[in-house]
Amino acid sequence: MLTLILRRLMAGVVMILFVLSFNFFLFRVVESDPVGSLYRGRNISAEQRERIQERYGLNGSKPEQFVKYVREMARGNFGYSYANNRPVSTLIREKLWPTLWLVGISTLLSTLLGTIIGIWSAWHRGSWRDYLGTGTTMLLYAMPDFWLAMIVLVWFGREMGWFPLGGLEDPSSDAVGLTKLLENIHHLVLPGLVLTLSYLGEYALVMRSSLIEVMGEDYLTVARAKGLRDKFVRSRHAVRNAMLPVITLITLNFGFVLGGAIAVESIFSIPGLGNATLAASKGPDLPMLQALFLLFSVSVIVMNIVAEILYMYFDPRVRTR
Amino acid sequence: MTLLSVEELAVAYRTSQGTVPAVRGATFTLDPGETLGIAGESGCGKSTIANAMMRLLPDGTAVSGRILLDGEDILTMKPGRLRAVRWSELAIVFQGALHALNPVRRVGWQIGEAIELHERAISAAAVRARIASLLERVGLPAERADDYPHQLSGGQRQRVLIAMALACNPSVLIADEPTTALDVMVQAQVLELLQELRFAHDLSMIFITHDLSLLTYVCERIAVMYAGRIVEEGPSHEVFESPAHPYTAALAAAFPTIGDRASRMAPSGLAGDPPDPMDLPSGCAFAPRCPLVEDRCRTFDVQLTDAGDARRAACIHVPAATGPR
Amino acid sequence: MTATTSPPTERLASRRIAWIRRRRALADLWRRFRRDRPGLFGLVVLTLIVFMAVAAPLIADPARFDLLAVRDIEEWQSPNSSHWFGTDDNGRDVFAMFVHGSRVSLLVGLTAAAIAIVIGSLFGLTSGYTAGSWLDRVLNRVTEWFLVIPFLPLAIVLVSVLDEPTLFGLIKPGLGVIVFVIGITSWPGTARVIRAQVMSVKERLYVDRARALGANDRHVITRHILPNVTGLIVANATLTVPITILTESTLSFLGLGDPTRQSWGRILNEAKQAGAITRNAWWYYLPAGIGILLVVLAFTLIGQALETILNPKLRERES
Repeated sequence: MLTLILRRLMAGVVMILFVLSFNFFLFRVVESDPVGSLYRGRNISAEQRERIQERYGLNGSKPEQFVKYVREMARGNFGYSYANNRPVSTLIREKLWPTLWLVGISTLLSTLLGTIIGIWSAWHRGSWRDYLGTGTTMLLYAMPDFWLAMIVLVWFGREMGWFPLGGLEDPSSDAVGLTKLLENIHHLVLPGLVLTLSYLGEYALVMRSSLIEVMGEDYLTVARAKGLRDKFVRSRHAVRNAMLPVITLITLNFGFVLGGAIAVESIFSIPGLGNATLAASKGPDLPMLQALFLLFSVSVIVMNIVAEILYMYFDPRVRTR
Repeated sequence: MTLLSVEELAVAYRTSQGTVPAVRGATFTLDPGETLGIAGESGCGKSTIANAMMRLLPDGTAVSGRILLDGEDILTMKPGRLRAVRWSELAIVFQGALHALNPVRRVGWQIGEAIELHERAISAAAVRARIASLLERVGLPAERADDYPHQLSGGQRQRVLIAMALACNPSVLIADEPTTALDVMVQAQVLELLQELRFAHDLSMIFITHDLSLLTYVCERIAVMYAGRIVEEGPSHEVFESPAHPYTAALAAAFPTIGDRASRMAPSGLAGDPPDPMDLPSGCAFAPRCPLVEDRCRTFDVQLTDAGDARRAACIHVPAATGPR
Repeated sequence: MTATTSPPTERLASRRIAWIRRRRALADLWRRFRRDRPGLFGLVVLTLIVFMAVAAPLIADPARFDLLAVRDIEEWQSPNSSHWFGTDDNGRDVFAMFVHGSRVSLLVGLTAAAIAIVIGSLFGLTSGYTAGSWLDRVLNRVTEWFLVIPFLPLAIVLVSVLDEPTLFGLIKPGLGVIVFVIGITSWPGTARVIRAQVMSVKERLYVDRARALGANDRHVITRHILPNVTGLIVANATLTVPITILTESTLSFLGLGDPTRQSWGRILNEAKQAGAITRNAWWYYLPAGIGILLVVLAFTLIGQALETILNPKLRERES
């Protein structure tokens, strides 16, 4: 099994290199004269152009730029944002946490709720419980998340006034420490609710169909014949087997966490990575976009590897073939 | 003193197309230490009887009759009592062992689960020792306990299932087509094993199969089923050699006898198929295919009647059978 | 060993038999589908919406949302007899926008899904059939790689940046770009599923036997693999459409859609910009969302029904 893991890691490294190159060339190809488009209409001397290009790593031939790009990246220097000239790494670090909190917790909650509903629906397949569970989750799955966000915003934010309408903090308050944290949490409740509801549909539906497939297997009958109570037959045997595809799904989705909440962040004005991507694409703010892209891709690659390793742990059939 | 007594067992499945009567009134007994074989083609209801005995039928299935284990009716047992009785008194070995074992759990764990269910206070070490001895009893090395089902061959998996069934020292073992999915050599080994275990533990067994020739080797008594009913019952050799019911005769004749050139050159099969349980013919269910059919067979459905010493058969040709004169 | 060619009349006869068999299979499929009530509901809803989209100009006059033409119409009207879904902040008739918006959503969704399915199926079939070879490994890497790219950010970037016709003039700004972008980001899922199925069919005994009888690759693919995979492709296609439609509406909502055309996502974007949330002008932001919801739901229900019918393992256990 160790060799399998090592091989996956190697493949992952190759992937990352691929992504680096893709990242670099995509943006260079797509925007052939960044300086020109940045300073549209304004006259800049050749000297100024030279200096700007130097600053953003845009001089020299493409291969030279690429080498410089990789070298700088290894040093942790991701360049400077076109939009406000601040180092990209700082900007990303600032915006990382709101997204991580928001999407991370939503994913956890939706996974938990989704799998529970899925199990419940499947176990009572065909009954009103199944119809209720599957109906609700399908409805949630079909809803565009930004639309749900609008409805939630109107209802709980505007009409009820229970929650703020956006942002991460109250601009008029000067709270610090724990109070500040509570304030942040208060602001994250609505977007968190929206994301949780949007994501749980997929988990519930996959868990349900996986469990239904497992439910017909003979070893469940054997377990019952041994004298095992129904609920243990379900948890120890049925769910354990049905979890396999769900585990893969969960792990993979975690990879998409970072880039996941663009629309919701936009509606709720959360200063996270999603919003940053949107803003950067309007420039285009190449250094920001490149760094964001790299970050998203790497997290997906890493999660892919984790997913495969987890699957190997949970399904012995894959290990010993 | 009978150990197990099934009285007028009737099972009807509920499907989207309507109710399907799988078993239409089966009555038989099992004495301690005895082996009873149940034979019949696919769909005749024999597996249903096995599942009914452990109350493993799907929800909503209509079951009537009585299944008395040592005097207690399994069909009316409370859930707690039923779970206690399952496996510790009545255990079952299924066919197609790849799907009867949980693919993501080690084999030893699955055997251990049965033990721990019925002996709460047992220590982990004692469980491991029991698993090892069970595996050895079925002819497998004790190290196999740490294997996963897909790492074992078909024959080995079947042995594991047998070991698992014996884990709680049941009084009755039900074997539902235990050798059907195996090749002939392995079949023989498994049958040998079952015989050994039977005598070593004085086990009572119900052996279900469609292969009549196997039953004469393993069982003292045979019951032959057709279309949800037992059509003949008696000591295995007698039933096989001088069948009282035409269906049994056909089943027996389908196997060429070694040494008998005539039967080898022209094995006799039976034309037609078993009837659709939702569309049973009136009168005797076997009438459409019966070589000895008479007119009254189509209107009169004969019940099991005495046909000799400890034998019963459901055919109009049995001398003691009462029918319209 | 080549098979002897049969006389033309025999071939015609066998082809007719195949046709009849296919028609009967389709009729059987329809009969099974009819019994699946959610699937049927989905089909009915979809038919209604498609009808609405196709007949849009007849149902609602596009002038009702032309900014110049509605200058004298009262803004922010709640639903009434002359404006079934009320009006927006400019006096545009929301119902008309809704009806016409369905066209883009459906068109883009279906076309992008078609592209994704075609690419995905080709990849999946080739990869699955040559499983284990270098070609399979290469294709696998490419698939994985596309799975890895975060598609929404990629879509955003590509859409905002591709503002000139590229790729031999096939991809034009506006709808073309969106369709292209969604198509190329949605195919890996299909490819994986198809590959797995092809590999499992290939391993079945009857393929081996066909080969032993001298069947060449083309025969095996067309006669054995394709029939077993087509069902899966269809079911997968129906389940891909919801993804493409949601992606399109998200892109339009983020302001990256085609600015010259109505689309449900765009309606929602404009609703948000106009402050429909603060005024709680529910007639403005509810219909478009419900429209997306219904279409996605319809395709999902149909897709699940098809999957249940075409995948024997999921069928109700018939004892």
